[in-house]
Amino acid sequence: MEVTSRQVFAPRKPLRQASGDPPVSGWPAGSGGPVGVSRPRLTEVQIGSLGNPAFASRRFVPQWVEFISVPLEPVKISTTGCVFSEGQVLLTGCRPSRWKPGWNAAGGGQQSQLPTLEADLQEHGSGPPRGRTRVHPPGDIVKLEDRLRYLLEPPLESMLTGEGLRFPHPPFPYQLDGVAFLYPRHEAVLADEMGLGKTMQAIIAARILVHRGQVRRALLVCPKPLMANWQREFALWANELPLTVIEGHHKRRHFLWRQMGTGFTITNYETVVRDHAQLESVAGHFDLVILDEAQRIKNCAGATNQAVCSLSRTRSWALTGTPMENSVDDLVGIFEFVTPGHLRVEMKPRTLRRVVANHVLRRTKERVLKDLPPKLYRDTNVQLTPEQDVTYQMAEQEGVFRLHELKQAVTIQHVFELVIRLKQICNFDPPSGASNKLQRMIPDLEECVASGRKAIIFSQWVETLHELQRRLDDFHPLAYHGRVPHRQRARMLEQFRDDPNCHILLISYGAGGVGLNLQFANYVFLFDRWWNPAVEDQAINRAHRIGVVGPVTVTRFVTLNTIEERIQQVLEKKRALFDSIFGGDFFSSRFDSGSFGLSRSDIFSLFELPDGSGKKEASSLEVGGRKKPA
Amino acid sequence: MMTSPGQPTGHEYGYLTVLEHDPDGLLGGYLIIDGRGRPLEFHCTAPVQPSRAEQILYGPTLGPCLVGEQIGGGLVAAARLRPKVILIDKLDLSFLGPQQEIETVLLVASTDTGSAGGALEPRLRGVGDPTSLPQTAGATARHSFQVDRYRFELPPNRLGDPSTVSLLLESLSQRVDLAEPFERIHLAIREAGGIGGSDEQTSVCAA
Repeated sequence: MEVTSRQVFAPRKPLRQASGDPPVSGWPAGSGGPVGVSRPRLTEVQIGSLGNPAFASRRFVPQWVEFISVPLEPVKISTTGCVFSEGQVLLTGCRPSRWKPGWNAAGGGQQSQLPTLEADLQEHGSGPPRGRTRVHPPGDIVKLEDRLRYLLEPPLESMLTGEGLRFPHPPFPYQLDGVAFLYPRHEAVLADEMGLGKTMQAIIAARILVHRGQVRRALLVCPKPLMANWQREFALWANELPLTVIEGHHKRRHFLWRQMGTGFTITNYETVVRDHAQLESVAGHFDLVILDEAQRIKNCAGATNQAVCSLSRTRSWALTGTPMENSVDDLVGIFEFVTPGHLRVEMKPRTLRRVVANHVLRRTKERVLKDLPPKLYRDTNVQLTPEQDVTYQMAEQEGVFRLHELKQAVTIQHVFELVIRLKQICNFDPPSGASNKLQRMIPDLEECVASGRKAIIFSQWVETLHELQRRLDDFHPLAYHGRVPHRQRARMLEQFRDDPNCHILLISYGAGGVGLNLQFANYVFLFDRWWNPAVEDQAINRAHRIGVVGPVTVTRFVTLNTIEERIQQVLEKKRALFDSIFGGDFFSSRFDSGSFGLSRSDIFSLFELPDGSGKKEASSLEVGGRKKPA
Repeated sequence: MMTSPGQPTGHEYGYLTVLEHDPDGLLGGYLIIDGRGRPLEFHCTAPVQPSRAEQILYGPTLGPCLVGEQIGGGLVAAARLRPKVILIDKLDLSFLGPQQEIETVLLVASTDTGSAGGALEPRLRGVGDPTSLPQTAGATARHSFQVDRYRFELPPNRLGDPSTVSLLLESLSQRVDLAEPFERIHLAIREAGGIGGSDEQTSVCAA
């Protein structure tokens, strides 16, 4: 602020003599300032005259005055702004381009009119929703206008109401958070624990994008057993969206790929791999591709991963409750689809956590569903029966002896075969059929049946399920596994759900581990344990999910002093690894970089075998191309 | 029916507020929404910090002059759309200077909590709380009314019929929580000004 001092001729005004009077004021013409502070300067004669009352009535005309001006210029206000053109278009009555013939919220294939406010009020009733779930811009959006666009949107609840989207029942607050997470993102992994509603969150987020005109063609890829489940979910949460299911005979599939237009297309991983070439040439670009059970593409070198990664797409969403089943490689495989090149295997956990933070959202039941009944774990340790013990000792000694004989030629495959054989003996003694696990389980099943409850029993092997089905014949159990034809599976599940005399479902990890809703079962038995806790959790969460009534009791059998007990110790190490990246104490003292996956030495150490072959470390127990059973 | 941009269609509502951020100064934000709450325009100011001399010399007129005319008036002038009503949360913003032809209405409090609504933050220090401002002699009486769960007041310098404003807000309240857009402006101002989130709440407060 500049202060100036000027000498100007003051106007002819009488001097004020009282000390309380305001000073004579004046300002240079045209300064614009409201106030200038002036001190009139008097000649010596005038000063002397002031002291003499005889001169009080005389007019003093100063010859010049000096001003100290304090210009107060108007504050310069600089503004930044943005105009939201889509809002302007709506104001001027133009029809947004998303309203295509046949694609309307009311259904029926008729063209919809742009809803007026009055029509909305009549339809939806008055009163705004009270929720305030905000859509925040992802970290990779850097342009201010784009970021402001998200921040200035109304809360998600108002957005849903404003778009006229109705739901069979209101989503949970954490589910709205999930929708708010997915909606602005082009690359996202929704990694909620099983049973928290990843399916509906993805459907609602996609539905908003469709109504906003940001998505016109979308592809959903899921495991084959879940295609029917997805169709049901779409019917429930977004019944106005056109849906095409592509599966079956290759001629039909090829025809559908060629005819594919706007809307949602559902297919499975096997079809994507088989029709890979046709997808590239015919299918064109997708605005959105969603992968369900995305851990299916964890192997970067696999055909499934390469097939889905080659799809031309704008948005890539992956849904998985197990983003890291065995090692960091799994996560890298998923991210090759979501955002290629973003992750590297050699990244340290701390770096991984920071890098994936903007793209991954994971919640657990304990955190978000405080009202969900608890999971009650009962780790049941059993001993081998005498018959089992004899068989087990003989098998282990023979097996270990053979492994030692192989020396350098021993492979992971050989070790797996021995492990599996020993685990099967822990279930049932082959010669006699003796089983301490079964003996231990029968009283629990009797109690379950007596109380009118339902139970699910998991096993890795179909042969074990068949044996259980035979031995538990009094309970009339159903057996659901990979060898059951697909068309019978839905009927079987309905019978288990609806038949009051059907209390037990025998199910394999492979067939029943993903996507099924069995929340009407209150008892889960893990007859034999799987290789990693993620798959076990997935299995347990078939029952412990939204909609479950009452606590779910999970019984895990472990046979002491056997291979099962040794594997359990390895499983605990894996759980610590998972928590270190996706939750829990990041600086857990149990974590160290050498414990990624199950190394070759870990596997060989199960039988105290020396690891001198120099082969690469095994990153999973499924190496060597061994598929999961059943 | 096509209407040219810039002309009100009766479905635009303005939201005007000012935040005070230490040490940057005052930041104004102006959001225009439609009847469903969707954003149509947004403008915000760079930080404005009155000098010590200005604070002394303007005295009690600093609020209306700086906050109202300069910041508020500047924002309203920068906008293309001219809503029929602008909701404010500070009385000083009712003095929009040359933009005075747009009706302003002051959101005073939420009747749910008995205090200022969730979006309403402490006032600019040094400027009186609108609820405590006495009515000056000869001024038009303030008109107070309630819409949904909020209490509103039309400033003494109001333009038109209070019932018209009340009806406009009634219409908006069917689809929009009337205080909620202020939250959006606060978020947007923080984003545009590079101001942190809730961790810096103590240094960013409503003006």
